[in-house]
Amino acid sequence: MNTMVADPHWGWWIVWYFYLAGIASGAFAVTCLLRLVKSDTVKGGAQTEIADSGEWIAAPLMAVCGLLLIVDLGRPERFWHMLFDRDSWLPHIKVWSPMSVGAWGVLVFSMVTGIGFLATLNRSGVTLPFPLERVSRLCGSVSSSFPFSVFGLICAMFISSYTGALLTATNQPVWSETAWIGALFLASSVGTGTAAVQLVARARGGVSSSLEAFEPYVWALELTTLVLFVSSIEAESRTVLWRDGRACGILAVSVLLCVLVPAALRWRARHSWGWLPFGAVSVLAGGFLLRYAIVMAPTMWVSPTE
Amino acid sequence: MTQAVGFFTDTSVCIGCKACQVACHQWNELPATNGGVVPFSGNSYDNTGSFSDLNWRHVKFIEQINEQRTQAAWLMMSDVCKHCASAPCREVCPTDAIVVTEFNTVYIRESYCNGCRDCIAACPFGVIHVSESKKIAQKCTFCYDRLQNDLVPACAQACPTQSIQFGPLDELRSRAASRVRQLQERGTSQARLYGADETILGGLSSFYLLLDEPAVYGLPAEPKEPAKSVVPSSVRAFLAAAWVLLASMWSLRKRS
Repeated sequence: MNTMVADPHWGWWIVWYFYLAGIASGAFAVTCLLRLVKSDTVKGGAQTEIADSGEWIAAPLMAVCGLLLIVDLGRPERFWHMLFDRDSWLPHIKVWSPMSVGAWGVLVFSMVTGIGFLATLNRSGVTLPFPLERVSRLCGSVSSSFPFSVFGLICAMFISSYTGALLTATNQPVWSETAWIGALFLASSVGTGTAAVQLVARARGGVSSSLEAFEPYVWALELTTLVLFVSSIEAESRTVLWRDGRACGILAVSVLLCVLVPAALRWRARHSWGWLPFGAVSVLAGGFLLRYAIVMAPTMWVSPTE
Repeated sequence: MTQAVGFFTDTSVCIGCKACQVACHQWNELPATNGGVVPFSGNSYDNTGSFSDLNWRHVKFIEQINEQRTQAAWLMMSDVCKHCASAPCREVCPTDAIVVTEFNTVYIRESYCNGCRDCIAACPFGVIHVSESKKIAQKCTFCYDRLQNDLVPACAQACPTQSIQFGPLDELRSRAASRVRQLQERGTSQARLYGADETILGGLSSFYLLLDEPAVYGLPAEPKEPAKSVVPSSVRAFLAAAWVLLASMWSLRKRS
């Protein structure tokens, strides 16, 4: 365990970015999966509200995420340096730098979610001013196509997991010791995205029964990747983690909220479906705690020397 | 034609005078912290504690006293950016602000940096920090401006004991190898080189002769190249994504 590293001071802005981008990508992934797997019922059928909910959620959240990323920079006015060369103004990307690839990923995914959002506006019958109305109609035909759903799913999966690869591609304690953070974030993103879609769909009067069959698989993935994450970090880090009550507490509460509470509520929901929104809220809260615990891990658990 | 240059820091002759720190501050116009009022750190004669945006060199003092308090050793080391061949900071920098110069040193182009701090997370030596005034990453420039004018870096010029030696990298490496041999022949069996060969991040342009384990000096034994973790991390994420896809096909179709 290398504790001589300096703290990058990735604080609350980044925790919120990881969390909200996770919800946005997870929700959009669920929308794409529904369109791909249940195309018969999604298109104008019972699942339309659910599929559309992911598009309602993703674009506004990605807009917030872009702002969070810019605000976190030391020099926000230079945010475009992430995408374009400062001198030539030509696009540039470093394929071995997760942050460079991620910046392009965020841009592309934001555009994809924007298309989805405009398409949803069009389907909902919202009246838009002249040029936007044409664009939204065009987006409507694009967004329900098979290639768009496949591309959207790939983008969403990338956004939900690259942040984990970004943390691993460092020399910080805990982060650099395991290659499982990306997979864990992906699982958590799909979990929180599904929960967000259920909440929005319910608010819009949709039926979310199809996603309820999907959820246990996501819980299983979250638990598995969390166990793999903890078991793959160095023994010294694990000892520190174990001794520190905060670390264990946050992880335990996260598991409780992400998996156990919704599972218990699901069991109870056999009698009353009114309990289900509480399960979704619980998953969303647990997802935030998970991101907080992992982003703050090097400073909170190991206190690297500065 | 320019050639690869480096620092060979022989810690066996460092006397902890901090002339290197002062010279670095003076040449690079780095202001004193806290208006020049520096409280005791409680860690021997170390008054800066670590690298910072204003301290690009850091003289470490390591007091080694046995349990019976009958024997004591005092290790000193002037630490600086290692200017790694495979620099983790340069690998991850998304704006290409960090580059390798014609002297084979690692340099931050200030006008490119946007203060994302990925380089700080990647550096295994805790070298880089963000300037509170400029809000961009800061570290040793290897006195790039001096090198361009055929001048020796300020720290090496100021070192009174030749602990910090500057010169062509190949020449420094052979000089370091013979110095280790000399010390070992005189009975200092613990003498060893750190970063002189390619085992650590492809080789360090600023390498060290140490008198104990690297960890004693706060140097990681096996620093990681961040780019090498991208593929394993991506493979695991891909497996998780495949699970989600299969689970959705199974569970969502089942209900339709």
